[in-house]
Amino acid sequence: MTTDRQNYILCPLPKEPRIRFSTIVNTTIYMPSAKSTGLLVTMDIKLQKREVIERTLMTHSSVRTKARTTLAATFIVLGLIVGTLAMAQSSNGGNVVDFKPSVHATHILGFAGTPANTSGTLAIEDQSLRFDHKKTVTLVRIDTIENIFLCEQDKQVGGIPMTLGKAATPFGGGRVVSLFSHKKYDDVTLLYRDDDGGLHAAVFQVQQGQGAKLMEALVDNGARASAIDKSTTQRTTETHNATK
Amino acid sequence: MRPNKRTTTGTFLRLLLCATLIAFGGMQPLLSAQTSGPANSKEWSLQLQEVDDSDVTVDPAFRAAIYENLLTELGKTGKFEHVFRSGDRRANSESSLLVLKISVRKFNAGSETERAVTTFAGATKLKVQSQLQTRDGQIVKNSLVDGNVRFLGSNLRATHNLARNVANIIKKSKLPDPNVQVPKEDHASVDRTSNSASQI
Repeated sequence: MTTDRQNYILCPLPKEPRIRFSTIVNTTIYMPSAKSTGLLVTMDIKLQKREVIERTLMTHSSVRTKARTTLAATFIVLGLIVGTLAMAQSSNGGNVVDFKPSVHATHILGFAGTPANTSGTLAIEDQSLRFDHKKTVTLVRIDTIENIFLCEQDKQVGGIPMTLGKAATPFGGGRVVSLFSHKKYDDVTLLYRDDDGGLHAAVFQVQQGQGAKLMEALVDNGARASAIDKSTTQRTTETHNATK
Repeated sequence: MRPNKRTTTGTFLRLLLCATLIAFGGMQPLLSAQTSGPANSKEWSLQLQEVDDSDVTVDPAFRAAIYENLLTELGKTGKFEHVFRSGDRRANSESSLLVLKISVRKFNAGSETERAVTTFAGATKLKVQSQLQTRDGQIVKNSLVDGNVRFLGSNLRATHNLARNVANIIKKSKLPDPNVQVPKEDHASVDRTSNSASQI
């Protein structure tokens, strides 16, 4: 490393002893070209740069070079992502669904062999809807799903401990707490047939906004739905964007 | 004389015991005939039809929950040999099959938050008509059943309460002999069962 005394500068002492820069890009891409195979192609790209600048002597030139290199690398990677996205859209002309391969869900009732009111992970795998709960795995073929419904539920959070706490709060304070301790969820209802033709009905509770994505992903993978409630989809997407 | 008296008393007691045993033995066929009623109804199988909500708009999650909870609760009654789901092909081969049709008559979704804040508002109310029929459409049992959540619990708990009430009614009702022709029940005579007071 060449050192030039003229180019040395004394970095001023920052207000905080350390300054950290952190950039994280996390993108999930759903490629409609993989509809037929039912594959969800996911690209997770994480760029992270941490620099710790302490009271040290650094050259202007080395800092500039480092910054330029990082910027160039970032632009190249971003260009690659945008290019891939554009190619995927132009080749298929389909929609890009931001559906993660797995969604955290609460099974309310009805999914074959799974106990009621259990939380786990819902995923689409090999043309099947898979629910993982602890060590048990339940699979239902997506082509047996006859109908999917989506509706919104408003629930109190905290369960029994919270309810007891609210009941014990004096001067009706629990009621005031109840005003703020509620959350909206998406209820996804699936109707499917078993091997004997028997009708099953399963209800899952997912985070608001995830229900529409799950529903679209299931329909794309061969599930039948009488009508997708587009208004709900749009509303949830808008809410999602608003929170960003 | 005293030993003789004792002997007489002992003999009398023995005779009384024998008479009791003989009488009990004679009643045995009668008792077994009386208990054969439930044994007959055990031969029935049940098929649950899809919940009909053509009259009232019901949330799909509620419809699904009514159906699934009914299947669970009807299975718990132990009154039927098999409880089949709607569309199950195995039910076609059953000789004695009853069909349960559920039609939603009244639905109020309610709100858990309203209940928690006000106590008196936001109740979830469900009222259904349950018709137990034979395969050829003759009505065996026709009743209106409620399932409500008034204070604590999620909205979907109403479906659990409703299913339990429907199952209780069917459990208490006397089913006809599968081999005997079922007399037609008057459609106007509908049992009304309300459970709202007992539900929390």
